[in-house]
Amino acid sequence: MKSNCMAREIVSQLKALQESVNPNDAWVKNNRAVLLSQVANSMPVQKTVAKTAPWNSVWSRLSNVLPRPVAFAFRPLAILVIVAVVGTSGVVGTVDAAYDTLPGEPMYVFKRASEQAQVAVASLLGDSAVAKVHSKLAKRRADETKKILANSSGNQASSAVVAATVADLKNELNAVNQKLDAAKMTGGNKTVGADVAKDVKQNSDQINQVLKDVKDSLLVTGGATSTSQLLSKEIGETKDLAKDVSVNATEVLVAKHLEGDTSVSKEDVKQTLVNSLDSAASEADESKQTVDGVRSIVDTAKSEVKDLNKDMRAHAQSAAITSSTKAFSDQISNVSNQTVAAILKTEAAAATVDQKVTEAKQFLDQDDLTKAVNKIKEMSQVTKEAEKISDASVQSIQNVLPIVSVVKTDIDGVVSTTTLLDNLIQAQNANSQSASGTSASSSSTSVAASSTVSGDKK
Amino acid sequence: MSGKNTDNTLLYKIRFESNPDAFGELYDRYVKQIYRFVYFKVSNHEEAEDLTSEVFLKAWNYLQEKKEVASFRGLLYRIARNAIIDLYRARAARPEALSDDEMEVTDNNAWYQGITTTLESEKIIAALKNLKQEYQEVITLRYIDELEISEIADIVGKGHITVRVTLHRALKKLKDILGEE
Repeated sequence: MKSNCMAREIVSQLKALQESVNPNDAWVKNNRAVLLSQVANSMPVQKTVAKTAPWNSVWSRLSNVLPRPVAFAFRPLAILVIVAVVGTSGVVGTVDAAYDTLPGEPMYVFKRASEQAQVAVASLLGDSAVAKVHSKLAKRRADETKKILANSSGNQASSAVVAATVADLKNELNAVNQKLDAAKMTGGNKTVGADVAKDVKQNSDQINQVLKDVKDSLLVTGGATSTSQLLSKEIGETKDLAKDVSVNATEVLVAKHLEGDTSVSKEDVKQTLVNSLDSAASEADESKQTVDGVRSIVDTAKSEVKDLNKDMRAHAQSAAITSSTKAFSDQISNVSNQTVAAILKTEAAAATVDQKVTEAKQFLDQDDLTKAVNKIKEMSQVTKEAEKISDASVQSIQNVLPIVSVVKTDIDGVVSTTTLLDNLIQAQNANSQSASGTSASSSSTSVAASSTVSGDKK
Repeated sequence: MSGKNTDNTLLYKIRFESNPDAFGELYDRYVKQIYRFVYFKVSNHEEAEDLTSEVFLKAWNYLQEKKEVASFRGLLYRIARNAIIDLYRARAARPEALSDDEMEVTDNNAWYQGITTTLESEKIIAALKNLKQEYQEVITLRYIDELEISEIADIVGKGHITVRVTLHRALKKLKDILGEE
C-alpha cells in the first residue's frame, strides 16, 4: 500500500516536470511560419499555385462550365490574361512590398506565390524562359541566404531557415541544369539559346561568389558546432552545383554558337570563356592560400602548446592535467600533418589548373572553342577538389583551437597564452594584408580570425 | 481518443490533399512535446530548436512519400530519437571529444540544467539522473510525455511486454533511489 502511494507520488512529480521546460513562444511562432513556407515550397507547382494564387479559384469555376477540350486550350491564355489583370490590380502593391522579404517574414508567402506564377508563365514560353526564371530565382535564394545570416548577427541564426533556403536554391539550380541538359541533347528553337546560356552562366558565377561569402560568414557566426559544420557542407555542395551549372551553361553557349545562334557574338563567347579560365585560376590559388593560412595557425598553436608543456613541468601540475595537455598536443600534431598533406595537394591542384589554363588559351587562339570548353570542365573538377581540401583544413583547425584555449584557462598560475595566440594571429593578418593586399589573402586571414573567435567562445 | 481521431483526420488531409494548414495544426499540437523530449537529451536551447525544426521537416517529407503512419506522434518521436543519435555520433567523431566510451544516446545528464525547479522537482530530477539511460528514456516517455506503451514500443523498437517490464523496473529503481534519500 505504502509502495503504491509512493509510486503514485513519483508519477505525479514526473508529470509536474512537463511545466518546467518549454520552448520560447516567439521561436515557436517563427519556426511555424518557416516550416509552413518550406512545406508550401515542397509541394508540386500546380498545387502551390492552387493554394496561393487567386486566379486558380476563378479557373476552377470556369472549368466547370466550359467543355473539357476548350477548358484545356483556354487555360494557358487565361493564365496570361489573369496575370495581366493581377498585374494592374492592388495585388501588385502587395507583391512589390513582399519583394525584399526573407523566409519567416509574413509577406514572404506573397513573394513565393509571385515567383510560382512567373514559373507557370515561363513554362508556356519554352525552355529558354524557364531556365532564365529559375536562374533568377536561384540568385534570389542565394541573396536571401546571405541576408539571413547577416541579420542573425551570431544569435539564433536559425540554421533551419538557412538550410531550407539553401535547399530551395539547390532545387532552382537543378531546374536550370535540367533545361541546359535538354538543350545539349536536342536542337530546335524551343531549347535554351546562347544569350540565355550566357545570362545563366553569369548568374551562376554570382551565386558561387555569394555562397563563398555565406561560407565565410558561417565560419564566424557558426563556429565549430556540428550544426554549422553540416550547414557548411550543404552550402559547399550547393556551391559545387552552381559551378556545374556555370560549366553546363558555358557548354550550351558554345554549342549553340557553333550551331549558328548569333544572339551572342563570337567575341563575347570567347570573352566568357576567358573569364572562366581566370576564375578557375584564382579559385585554385585561393584554396592554396587558405591552406597556407591554416598551416600558419597550426604552427603557432603547436609552439604555444609546447611552451605550455614546459610551463606545466616547471609548475609541477597534476598528472591528469599534464596527460590531457599531452593528448591535445598530439591532436594538434595530427592536424599539422594533415595540413602539410593538404598544402601539397592544393599546390598540385594550382599547378594543374595553371597548365590547363595555358592549354585552353591556346585552343582559344586557334578558335577551337569546343576543346577550350573541355579544358574548363576539367579545371572545374580540379578546383572543386581543391576547395574541399581547403574546407577540410579549416574545419580541422576549428576543432583544434578551442582545445588550446580551454587547456590554458584550466591551469592556474600559467600565463594565459590565448592572448598571445590572438596577438600572433592579428600580427599575421597585418603582415599578410600589407604584403599582398589580395582578397585571397584576406580570405585566409579571415579563417584565422574566425577560428580564434570560436576558440574564445569555449 | 478524440485527439487521436483528429490526428488521423489531419493526416488524411496532408496525405490526400497535401494541406499545409493541417500540418500546421499538427505542429501546434506537438511542438512543445518534441522540443521537451529533445531538450532533455541535448544541452542547450539552440540545438533543441534546430533539432525540433529538423524533426518536423523530416516528418513532412515522410508524409509526402505517402507511407502509412499509425501514429503521427510516434513518428515524430522516432525521428527525434534518430536525429539525436545522429547528433551524438557526429559529436563523438569530433577530435575534441574527451571520452572514448562507446557512443550511447546520452547527454551525460545535462538535460536537467536550465530547468526551473522546485525542491521536489530537484529531488526527482536527481533521482532520474541516477538511472541508466534505458530507464530514463521509458520513464520520460511514459510519465513526462505521457505516451502509450504501444507508442513507446514503436519508438524504442522493442516489444510491448519488454517496454512494460522495463518501465516497471525503472519505476522500482526510482522508488529505491528516492526511498534511500
